[in-house]
Amino acid sequence: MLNEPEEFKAYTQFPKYNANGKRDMSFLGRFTFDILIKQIGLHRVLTTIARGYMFESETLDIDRAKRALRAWCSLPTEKKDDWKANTNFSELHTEFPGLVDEEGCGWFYRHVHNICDFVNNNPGSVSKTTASKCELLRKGFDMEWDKKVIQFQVPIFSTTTIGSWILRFDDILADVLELGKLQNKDFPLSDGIIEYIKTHVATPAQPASELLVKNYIANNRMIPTR
Amino acid sequence: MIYEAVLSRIRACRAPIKNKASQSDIDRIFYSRGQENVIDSDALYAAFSKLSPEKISSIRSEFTNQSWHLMDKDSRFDFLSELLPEFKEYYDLLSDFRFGGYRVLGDLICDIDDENNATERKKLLRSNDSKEFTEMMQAYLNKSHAQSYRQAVAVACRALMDKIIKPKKAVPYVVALGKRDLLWNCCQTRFIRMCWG
Repeated sequence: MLNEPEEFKAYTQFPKYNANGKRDMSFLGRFTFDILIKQIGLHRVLTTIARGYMFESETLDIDRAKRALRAWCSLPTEKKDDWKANTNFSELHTEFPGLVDEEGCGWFYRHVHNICDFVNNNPGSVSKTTASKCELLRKGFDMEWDKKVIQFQVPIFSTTTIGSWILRFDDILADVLELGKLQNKDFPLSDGIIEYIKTHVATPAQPASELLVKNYIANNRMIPTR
Repeated sequence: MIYEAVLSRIRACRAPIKNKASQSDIDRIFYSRGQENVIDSDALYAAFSKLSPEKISSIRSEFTNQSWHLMDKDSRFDFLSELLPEFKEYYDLLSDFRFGGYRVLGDLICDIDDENNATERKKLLRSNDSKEFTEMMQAYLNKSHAQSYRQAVAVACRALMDKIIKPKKAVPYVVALGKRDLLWNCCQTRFIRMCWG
């Protein structure tokens, strides 16, 4: 998404849980079942959230961003003193009331359960595939997410880390420092490009093509040539 | 049980050392930054492997103590010049944090440190081993090619057991301990004789 502040809102505010027809998946918000079930693309989600909180005030606040990530990821599990086993961050409710509730249910946890409840209560509004994917979430999400949140907290460069590719809060925070504040990178395309798309691309695919070109230009600007 | 500890160490030492576990991560970062043809990760591993194991592990602990991944640009250079003064030509590369670049140095140091520790762990004989342990391990080291490692250690273990207890008495003790493998490998002859006369 080119408008990063809007993207941040999509990860911290709940969407409307309804559907106009079986193909309407707007109740998932900006998420897909791949993110919810396999956690594919979660790096970008967590980075966007952390960027929003780290640069919220004038002074850079790494600890606040880390607490926000914990709150967003929290689960209502049994509270444990050991960080290696604790995934309940209910104590952050006063600081981040929107991200975690008093029981420790984080934003992501609640969003997944809201989706499952919606699908369960409205079987006529969703496809069979959606219903079967929600069944997977209902059965396995809590346990899988609990494991993931423990992994997120493993310190970077730790001697006990076996996997080198696992996603950790430390990696997220380091990337956030490099990426800086959330920005709205949307911009109008030149008349020449718009004209080219109109003449060469079929009408239904034109909005997607414009977005693709915009993304290409915006992200290539980000890469300095060395 | 010393016999089992000897077998366990032999098996652990036989497993190959997994070198450069994070090399693909380093290559991915270089590729993301368009540097895959400019710098070779193998050359980096070769250069940093020259550092002593003590130095490598001290740099690794400094990573955590000083939060290398959260440093600003100036602090990165200070950190590098303090700990790695001999690698000045790599400072620009290592302090470039785009696309997870903080992990390049981290991956290198952690991989080499893990390899050093693994090499240390792969020593069959160590100074604090007991006399019995050393004796059984020596039997393994001096075994013939035809003999399996289990057989070699079992022969030495039997010899040691014979010194402290009669084979006939050893069998009930081993049975009481529930060590079936030990019973079969070290007391086999006596056990069969007891069962079938």
